[in-house]
Amino acid sequence: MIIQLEEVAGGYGDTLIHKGLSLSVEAGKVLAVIGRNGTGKTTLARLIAGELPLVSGRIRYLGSDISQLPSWERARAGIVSMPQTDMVFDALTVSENLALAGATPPGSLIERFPRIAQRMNQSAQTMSGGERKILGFVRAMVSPAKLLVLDEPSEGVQAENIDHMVSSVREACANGVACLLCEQNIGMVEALADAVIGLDSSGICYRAEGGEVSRDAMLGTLSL
Amino acid sequence: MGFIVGASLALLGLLMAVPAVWGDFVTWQLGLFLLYGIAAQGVGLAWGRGGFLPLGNALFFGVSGYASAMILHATDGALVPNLLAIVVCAAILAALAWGLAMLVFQGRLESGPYFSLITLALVLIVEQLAETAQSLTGGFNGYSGYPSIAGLDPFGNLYYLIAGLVVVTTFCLMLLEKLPAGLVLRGLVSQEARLQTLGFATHRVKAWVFALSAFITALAGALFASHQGIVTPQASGFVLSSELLIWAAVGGRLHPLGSLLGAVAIGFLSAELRDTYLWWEVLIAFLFLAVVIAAPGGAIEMLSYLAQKLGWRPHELTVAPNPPPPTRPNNAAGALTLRDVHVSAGEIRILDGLEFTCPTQGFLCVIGPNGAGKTTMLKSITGAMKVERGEVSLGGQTVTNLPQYRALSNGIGRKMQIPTVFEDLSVRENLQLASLANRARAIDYFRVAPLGWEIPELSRLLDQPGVPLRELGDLNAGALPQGHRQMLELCLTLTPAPAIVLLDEPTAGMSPEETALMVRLIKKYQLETKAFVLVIEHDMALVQALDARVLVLHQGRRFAEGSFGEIRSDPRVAEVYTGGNK
Repeated sequence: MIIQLEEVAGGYGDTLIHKGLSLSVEAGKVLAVIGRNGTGKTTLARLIAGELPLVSGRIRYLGSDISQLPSWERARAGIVSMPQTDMVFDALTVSENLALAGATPPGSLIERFPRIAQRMNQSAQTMSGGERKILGFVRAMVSPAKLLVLDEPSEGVQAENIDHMVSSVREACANGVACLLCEQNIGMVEALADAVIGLDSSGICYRAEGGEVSRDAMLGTLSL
Repeated sequence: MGFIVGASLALLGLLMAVPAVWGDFVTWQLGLFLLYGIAAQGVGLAWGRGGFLPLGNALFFGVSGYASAMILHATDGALVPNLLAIVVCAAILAALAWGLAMLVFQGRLESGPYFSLITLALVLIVEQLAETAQSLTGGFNGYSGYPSIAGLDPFGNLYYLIAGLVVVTTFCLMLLEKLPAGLVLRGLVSQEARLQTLGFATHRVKAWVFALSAFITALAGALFASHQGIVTPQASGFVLSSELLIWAAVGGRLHPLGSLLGAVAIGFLSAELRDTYLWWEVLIAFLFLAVVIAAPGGAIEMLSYLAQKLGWRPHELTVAPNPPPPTRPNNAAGALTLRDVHVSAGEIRILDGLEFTCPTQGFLCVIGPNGAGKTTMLKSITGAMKVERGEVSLGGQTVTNLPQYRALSNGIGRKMQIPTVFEDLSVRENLQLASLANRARAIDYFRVAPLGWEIPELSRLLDQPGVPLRELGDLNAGALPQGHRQMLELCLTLTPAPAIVLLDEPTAGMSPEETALMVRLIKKYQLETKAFVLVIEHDMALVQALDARVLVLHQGRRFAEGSFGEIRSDPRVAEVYTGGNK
């Protein structure tokens, strides 16, 4: 098991968003988290990345308790997160952004997103919203990761590039990386997820694995 | 309102009791610290409510002090001419401050380091001049030998004049906070770019704030001359300028009572320690660090937190709902046309001769690969990015490269790609701020009633089933998840009733059901107002649901245009872009 959340509670200040959430992701698997706005997908991603403190519960990563570990130590240990907003360093160029990930993008990734290669010396703030998402995604993919936490990578990204994202994540999983994917795009979830959990305001309202994952059931959890 | 009057009366009572309880010397000391406190209120206003940091406000304090001393000297302290002179002099300094701020802030967001550095340079120049121009200012030894105003005793009755001024400035600043003008200032600090798209000329707002800041500070400086009987170059110097900042920061720059408290508390503490403890300045410095780190809002924030723990509730202003005035007529109307529009960012050409004429009403969806120039197209229309070549026009009238805040007066409203709301304001305050846009006249910013304006366009959106913004009214917009922010920003965009609506990926990050709700809201608005609505989208289901004309952008140019069906079946389009479904 790469990561395991046990009865995790956390949120913002006095407001608890999660009040006892348990889930786990195995090596090479993708767990998708779906749910309407405000059900805590981003909060969950931030709790795992260590950007928000745990109020109670435990997070185990590769067997050890990381509940109290600061976010930079989690990142060093291989928990790579791509936040929903501010996923790139605006003032840095594309190549500087990628250099911070500590590795150069492999050819396969560049082939999928040729724009990145064309724009190496451009500063990230002059790129379009979708291009920035792609850059943030590529940076996450080249970081040495054991767990990828992707928060809405498809937002503002054209369909072809979403497909390329799907194949990139598949490739990483084939190398043993686990992935937690927070998404609203059901198509991307269908294409990628080995297991799905649906969140509503009271917690996990839907769980499905492998063949049980159905589009209708997922849409059901997203409706009011 | 009652709370502000009550607080001001309590302050007045407290200040009136000081001479009887603590005697003449403490009263004299307090008089000085209160004058510093008023000047610190001026700094707090600029810093906390204007969002720019003035490093040279002692300039207004000192120059006003010198001017007052000279006029007292010339008129032998006569009351009426001197009161008049104080106000006129403060008004002149305020006008200068206004002009300076207009020059610095025009055409840019926030202030960068420029504003602070310019005010720093100015205060250094003035201090130097005061030291050098001996014949005028008495140079290093200071200007003295003049009577106080109306001959009031600095150890006696002058204190009451000072106390009166403190109560007036505090009352006015607290009142300002509760008025629409105060809401605009909080919006300014929270999210200046959004305020501009709501049609506010933020550089002008900041200029007025700085003028008011200078005015208050100058009033204090004038009474300082009477209180001290001497004005030295230090009164217009850099050290006092930075002390004003420290007092405002320690006491709390976001509240007029905070700055006052900071100046008085540190004043007395310094006076006490100076005589008894060699390292007193170091101690004060540590106090400053401790407060700023522990409570960025200053001592007043800690006090209000404690008071709330003890059950005190901050006063909430309730305003009866009332009908708003109509929106201002648009300056320009007609079809939006882009002709040969070129836009670059650095070396990268983003729009490369874009040609397009939009319909005057109905829907247009703009699609295209990532980086095709969709968002830049919107930015070139509203003036957020500079058009290097070509023209943007509205009904034949050019609107090329107008400043962003002018877009709404031409009937253009824009929702940004990353949902941009006033994060430090509650959801309700966000909507109140949008209700002012394109409707409020100057006088309305100083009346309470506009906070209760019920905008029909807004009510119709909020009343739709599934829109949660009414229930979330008290929540800070910064705490909203992405999708709710999208909905809030859509409301901010539509409340001023623009005739041309530019929506940049309004449903990004939303589930199919929430997307359907957004489509309903947008359609409803279009149907009721006959507006032209341009939507950037990747979700083909949404494009279809809107039954819109479709414009395909590719590499900064118009690539194709047609109905949804035509675009879907165009093999050329399929080569560059297929689009997807959620």
